Amino acid sequence: MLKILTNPFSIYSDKKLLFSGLILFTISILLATIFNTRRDGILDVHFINNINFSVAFAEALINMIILSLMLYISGKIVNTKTRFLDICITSLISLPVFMFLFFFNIKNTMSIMGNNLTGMTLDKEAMQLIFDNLILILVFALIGILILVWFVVLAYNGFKVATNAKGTKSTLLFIVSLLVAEILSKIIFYQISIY
Amino acid sequence: MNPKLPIHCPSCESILQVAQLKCEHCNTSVGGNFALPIFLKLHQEEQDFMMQFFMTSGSLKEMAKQMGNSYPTIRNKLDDIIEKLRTLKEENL
Repeated sequence: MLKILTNPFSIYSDKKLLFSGLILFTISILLATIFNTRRDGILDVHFINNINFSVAFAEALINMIILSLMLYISGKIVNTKTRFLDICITSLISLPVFMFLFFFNIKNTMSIMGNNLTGMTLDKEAMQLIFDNLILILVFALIGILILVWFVVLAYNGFKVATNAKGTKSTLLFIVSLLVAEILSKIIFYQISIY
Repeated sequence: MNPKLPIHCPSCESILQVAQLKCEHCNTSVGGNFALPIFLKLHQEEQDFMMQFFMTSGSLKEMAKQMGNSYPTIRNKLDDIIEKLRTLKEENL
């Protein structure tokens, strides 16, 4: 079970993985639309008041393409036999894990709290609001970290299987491509001002 | 029971040599010091993998299906064996 959750890439055929990845990708877009969640970066999850399907789809697609491209470039450096399909599958399976965080915005809970915090000028008022929702914020932070770790583990295992990566050089290349993908995605979302 | 051919010395883990060969029909024994063929220097699991590779006419996709693994996992295993064979070949020269 743990292997299915952390490294499905070594078990299932590419067809099964691609099909599952596309389903997860679609579900994550639908959930982002239902729970008004923005994914304006590879590692970003932001809650807003309203988002439409096309924006959620565009964000998910941009994230998927950027992450795939960055990992593919690193993959080709590690092993010239790396296939783009295996890297795409890695992105399609790993990126949707963030959708478990979207449920925190049921009835716009998190976005309303965010709006209230932004509107406050007094530190005392803001602190009171944080204390009132302390448990929710702590649970969100904890699950957020777990999801982030899960994403990195999935992406790394997918990269390892796709490239036959071994040793420190490939691990460093993976970390660099993840960071470059995050920076690049933020720049692109800022440039196109999608929302 | 089909006993496994030992390829590594249980004491120092070096690769073993063939010291004796015997004819099962007439019991004639031949003694000497022969190196193991390069494919026999692979582990049993790797030899089985090579056998399956031949039996599927080198189709990694077919192997992946039969072994219940993904295509890149099978390709990675093959690459590792090729690398090992290269090293063994260089050691033999």
